[in-house]
Amino acid sequence: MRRFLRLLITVVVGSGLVWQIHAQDDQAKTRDAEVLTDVSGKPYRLPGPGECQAVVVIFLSHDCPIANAYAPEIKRLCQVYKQRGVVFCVVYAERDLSRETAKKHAQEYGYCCPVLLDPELKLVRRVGATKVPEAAVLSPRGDLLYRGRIDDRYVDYGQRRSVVRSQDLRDALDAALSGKPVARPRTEVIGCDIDFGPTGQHR
Amino acid sequence: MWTLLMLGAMAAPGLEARQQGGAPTFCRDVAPILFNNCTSCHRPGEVGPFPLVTYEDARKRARQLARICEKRIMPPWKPAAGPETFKNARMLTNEQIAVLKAWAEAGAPKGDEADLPPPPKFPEGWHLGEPDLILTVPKPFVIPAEGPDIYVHFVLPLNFKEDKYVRACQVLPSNRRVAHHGVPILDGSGTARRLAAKHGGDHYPNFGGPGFIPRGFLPGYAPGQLTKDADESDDRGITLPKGTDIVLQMHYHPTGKEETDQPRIGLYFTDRKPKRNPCIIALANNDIYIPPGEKAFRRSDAFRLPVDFEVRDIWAHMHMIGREVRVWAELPDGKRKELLHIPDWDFNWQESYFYTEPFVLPKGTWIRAEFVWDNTADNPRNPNHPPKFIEWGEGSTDEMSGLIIGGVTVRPQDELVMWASVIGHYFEIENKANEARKRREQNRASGRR
Repeated sequence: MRRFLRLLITVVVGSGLVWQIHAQDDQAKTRDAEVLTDVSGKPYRLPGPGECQAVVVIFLSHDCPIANAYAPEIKRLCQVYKQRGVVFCVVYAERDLSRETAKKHAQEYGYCCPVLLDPELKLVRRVGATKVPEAAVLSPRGDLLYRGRIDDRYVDYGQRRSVVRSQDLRDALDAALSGKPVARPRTEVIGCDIDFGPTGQHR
Repeated sequence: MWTLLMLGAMAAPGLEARQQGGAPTFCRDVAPILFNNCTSCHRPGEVGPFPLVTYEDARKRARQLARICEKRIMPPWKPAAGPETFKNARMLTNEQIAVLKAWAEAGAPKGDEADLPPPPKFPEGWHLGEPDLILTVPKPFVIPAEGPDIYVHFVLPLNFKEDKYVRACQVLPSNRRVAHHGVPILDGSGTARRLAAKHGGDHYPNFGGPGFIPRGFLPGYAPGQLTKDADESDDRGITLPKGTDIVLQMHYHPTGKEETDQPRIGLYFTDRKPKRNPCIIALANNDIYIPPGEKAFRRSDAFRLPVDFEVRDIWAHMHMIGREVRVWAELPDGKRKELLHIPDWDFNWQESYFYTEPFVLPKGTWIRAEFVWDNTADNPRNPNHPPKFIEWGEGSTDEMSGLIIGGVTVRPQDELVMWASVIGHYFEIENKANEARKRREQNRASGRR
């Protein structure tokens, strides 16, 4: 019985250690994925604990009509939630996008938040995004609280609601800011596929 | 080990065959489909939001292309197949869609560049050289970053002292990224001038159409469309009677950022008077009062041809909750001929449809149109949530029905009879709607008592 207990303790402690090492590993990778370059070429790290209440990342491509059509709404959300300590970033999830094109596009659409490039799709993979415009809400510690559409204005390609009925990103943020669990933490995005390269591998 | 080798040997030929002949390649199979059906809009500077010209353009969205074409969302084409075909049809065959699917599934291979056809060339600027007269919209028009599609009518007075004959016309937007289409409409009534003045200038934003019965149309703008010279045929030219104004209807699609456009119209004149002038048939039912929750609210209208008429084109109109439109002809011998069926109406893709072969409908033919609206919450385009009563009106949240058939009378001397009949029918439409409105109000009043 004692031997069994010892074995049990060894197994539990051992696996705990392994788990911790893995967790640290994961965290290091996560942190690495959270450092991107902005359109002016400067490195940008997603804010962490003590720096914000939540982080919203919105993945874009410069030529997705649905992502572009959301620009005014993204700007509105950014303005509204800035006052509540939320940091918004828009991230071009494009492997082959030049910084000049990205910069010009960001200026034309007038994004008023950090505009980042993710040519290696590391932040894309980290949060598991597959489409643009896909939004992700992260806690200051980096936990993924929500991933999905901004709202339900697109029903399908070429089919747009006249009246938005479900403000999914706003709902997720309101829940996160009041410390409540997000009611629908994952929603489906109608938009353009992120190009994962000729092999098409997601992760 | 032996088994593995065996399996490898068996698999290899299949793979090779697929690479050689089986799987479609971009250069050989996909590029011709894109160049002939997509590139007119999907090229730099055009209304298509991304280009479909190079291999990379297509590769990175290969699966999405296949999906969207399979659902027939693109190329955008609303009419269902009928007995007549349309010159301006944009449709892929089932085989072409199968090629796009197989190509995406095979990983979007490029193939041999030697197979690649040259990309299509589209003429720039004025297609037929410097026009005889250029009309320019006075001020750049601002298209906001978001909101519903915009229909705007620019009034361009001609102030001609005599009739002029047009052999060709080209509408040239200055910003083709936002211009869906443009149609020059002829107004001899002065209504458009008044509407523009009421709106404070040179244009008016009428969602419901031009607001007058068009005296005719000039060839309009659609991406990639070539300007034709009508001088060769006897009745393809168009008379611009003195006192006519051109009203340019432009359809714009907001893109997420503010844009401007300042379109121009180029006119090419001829001394040769056209033998026949374009005529129109206008159908509508303005008795529209759609209760919330109504899945299929129906209205119809019918017009009897007073003379033999050659049908050339057709255009239907409804607003956001329009669901379906069907137009047919009942010939004097009892035969029925389908003219147009749009089973899934989309306000944003309304356009004129040009019959491949014009056809004659004899005197006494009834032309009938039926319109269906869906005012339920299931309809994503419903402007109200929850649904509300929707009535006839020209605003974007009102509803309308409309149908215009363009053509010529078989005999030139019948033009006046035809025009009088169309005007007469217009007043019938108005009267019917007014009577229905009165009845409804009376019923409501007596219901209250």
